[in-house]
Amino acid sequence: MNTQHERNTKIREAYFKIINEITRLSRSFSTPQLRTRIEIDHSRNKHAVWQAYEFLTPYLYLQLDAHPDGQACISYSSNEEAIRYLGFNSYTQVIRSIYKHTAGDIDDCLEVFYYTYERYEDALEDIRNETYDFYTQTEEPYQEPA
Amino acid sequence: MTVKTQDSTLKLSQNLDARNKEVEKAFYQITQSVRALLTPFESRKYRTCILVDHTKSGRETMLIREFICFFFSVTLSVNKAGYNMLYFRYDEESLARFGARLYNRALRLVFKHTMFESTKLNIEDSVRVNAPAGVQSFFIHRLAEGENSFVSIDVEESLLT
Repeated sequence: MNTQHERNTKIREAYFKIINEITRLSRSFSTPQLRTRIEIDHSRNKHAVWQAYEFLTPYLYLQLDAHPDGQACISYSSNEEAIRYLGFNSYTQVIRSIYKHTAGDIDDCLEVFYYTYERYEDALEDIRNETYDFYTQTEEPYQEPA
Repeated sequence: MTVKTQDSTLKLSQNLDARNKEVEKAFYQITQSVRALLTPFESRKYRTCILVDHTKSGRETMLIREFICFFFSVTLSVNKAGYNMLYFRYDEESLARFGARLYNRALRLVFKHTMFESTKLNIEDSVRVNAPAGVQSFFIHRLAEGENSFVSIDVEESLLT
């Protein structure tokens, strides 16, 4: 890839493809909690200097951010407790989509870290209190698995 | 899983057989390719691979084959319905101590060899990624028992030598 800008664009596209795929997969998840996601678009925060995008569910945290050198990166962490409710088949599909869309020349953009449920709870609290206007909460309608 | 048609039980059985062979092939490809990830390590311990052929153990088990190294394990087993399954488990302590680089690379290979685009039949649903947990203790236990008629131990050649 020629420039950092091109690479970052590709990583950003991959990130939103992952979100779209996980959203689609989540429609067959059994409980409303598992079909609920919170998205935080920091670029819409006029006070922020941080341009990250966060995607939070009870079972996964997925973030698009940048290193200090400007390289975009995608980080994810999964909640081991929630995997029990989600089931390993669905969990594996979710993880597969992350690796599928970051394969090839951007494969080193991916990072893994530990999940903390508090981050999701804090975001839920902020949604309830309408603290920020750049937080969105969506519950996907249930669809029978294909 | 294999799509059930209105044909015959024989057809379903053939489909299942073909699918299981494809999963077995993927297990072989994964366990061959992940060995390359271990070659940059200097210590023999980190380059050691244990392969357990449970079909030769003489015990009745759902396990078929198992690949274990210090960092992760890949297990081929059959479920109650007769479907071959692949389980990937990464060592929790290694993830905490060494970071996620190797974890990412190993998981990528698991998905690469089981993705729809690279297999004759769709075996994507044969893979189960378990949450990181203790693998080292299994590895050390098998290593301590040594080789026998159904356990083989190899040390990958170091890239550093």
